[in-house]
Amino acid sequence: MTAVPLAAVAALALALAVPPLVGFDPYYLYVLGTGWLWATLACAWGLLAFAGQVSFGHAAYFGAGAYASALLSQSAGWHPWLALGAAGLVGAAVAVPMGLGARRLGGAPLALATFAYAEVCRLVALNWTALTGGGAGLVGIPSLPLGRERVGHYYVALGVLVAALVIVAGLRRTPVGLAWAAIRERESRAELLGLTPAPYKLLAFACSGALTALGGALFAHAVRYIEPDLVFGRGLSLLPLVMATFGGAHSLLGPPAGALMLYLLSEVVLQPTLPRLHQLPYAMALVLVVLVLPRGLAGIARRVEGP
Amino acid sequence: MARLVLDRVSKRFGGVHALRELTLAVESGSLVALLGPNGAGKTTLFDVVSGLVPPTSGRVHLDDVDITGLLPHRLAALGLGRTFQVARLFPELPAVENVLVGVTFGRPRGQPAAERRRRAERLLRVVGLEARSRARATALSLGEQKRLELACALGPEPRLLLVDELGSGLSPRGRAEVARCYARLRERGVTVLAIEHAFGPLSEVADRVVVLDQGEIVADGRPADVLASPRVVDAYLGDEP
Repeated sequence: MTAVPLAAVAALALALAVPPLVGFDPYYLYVLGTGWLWATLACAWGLLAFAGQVSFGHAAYFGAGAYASALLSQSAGWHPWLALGAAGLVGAAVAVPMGLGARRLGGAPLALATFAYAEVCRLVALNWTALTGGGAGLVGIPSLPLGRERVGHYYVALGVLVAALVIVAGLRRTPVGLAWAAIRERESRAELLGLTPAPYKLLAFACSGALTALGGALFAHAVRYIEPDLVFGRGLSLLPLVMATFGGAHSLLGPPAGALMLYLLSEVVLQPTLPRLHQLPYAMALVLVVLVLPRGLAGIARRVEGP
Repeated sequence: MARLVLDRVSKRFGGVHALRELTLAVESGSLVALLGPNGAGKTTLFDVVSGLVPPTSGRVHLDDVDITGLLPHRLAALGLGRTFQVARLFPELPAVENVLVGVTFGRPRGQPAAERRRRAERLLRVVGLEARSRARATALSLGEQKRLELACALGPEPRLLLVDELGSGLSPRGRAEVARCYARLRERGVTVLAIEHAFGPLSEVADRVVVLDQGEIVADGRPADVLASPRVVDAYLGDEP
């Protein structure tokens, strides 16, 4: 990404800091805050896609982050901010087995493995009652000390999204980003040029897992209640995938843009008017990507720019 | 000193003998043309040397190191580079980033970013693509893609470069550019083993021509001598009636 779009993103982030200051409706603050969260998850999924890896199991990292932060702050007595940071590390660690699996698996087999892994994580959380509370979940998770809670969560979610974008943009400009792009484009050729793919794939999974887990932790502290089907649910694996591919999985800004468009269309437009159809945008987005927009919204921007 | 040695290398695919007990040494700094009709085993030989397929028997040595069965990235680290008959590029990346992959992850490692960029741009100049450095690989013509792949393969500073039909399918202008590329490679002192389907510009500039037919070497020597060999004429034209 060039300096100009980065500056534009910074200006946009500053503009987005205004709504809570001008007495925005609390419901819309909540919706926007949740939108930032989805955008972060799509950004994390897009990071992995940029490295050529497909995941159907990001719920594993979201749930791991949610439970890690909840347990550390509630049972171990850690400060919620510290627990939030640790949740990122836990997410990276939980992603390591899939990163190692990517040494031998790729494409559909890897995608199915990630899906199975997320299901295993959900079942572990469901049955390890002594630690997780089982199906009853965890109640009364400490919230982040933010003063005005809803406003605070809005800013924290926005901050996490901006931080995720800055981290991903930075990584893409380093040799790590070049390795990820080369692996995505033609792994066998990259190997013949001296690149060892395994550590870069592992790093992609760890980074994506960490960012997703941060989202999970944020969710846990915002909602203050989690249970396995809520934070390890299949929707948390599939929606970031749909959002990111709709926005343009290999681009930096496509995944968060896709996430915001779809989530806000579903939540702000369809939920109040046609509540039974509020998930239609996700299905339509998938159909559009398959039939006419293989590169998502970013592909349209690219067509305008030229080759 | 021999840079590459193949010692009685055989490769079978089921009942098909692609290579038969093939022994070959390529001297350091030389430009060797590998010729042969379709199915002679030229590309299989490259696949065996570059670790993409294991030999059925025999050993391969690069600078006296046994490289038989090593993984491609290990071979790159030891100084082996390769191009393909149909260019294998990173299609969505700009030309300069295609070259940067080899420059960054090949030898030598740990150079500053600015130096890596300068090297990549220099290599694009070597193959005459400096004006196309920002174009995506998919936006390049067939000839440009082949030359870009050559620049990519030069990125890790190979000691031995395997070049697969760089001049095939190109216009006369493209073939002239390829001939210039070979001349520049010679100036850089890179040992080159290059496949061409038939006698052409490569055979004229090569130090030596090796002709394969049905997995065996049927001629090996100076270009003029090989061209006059009856076995070579047989391999290309078949037996006279």
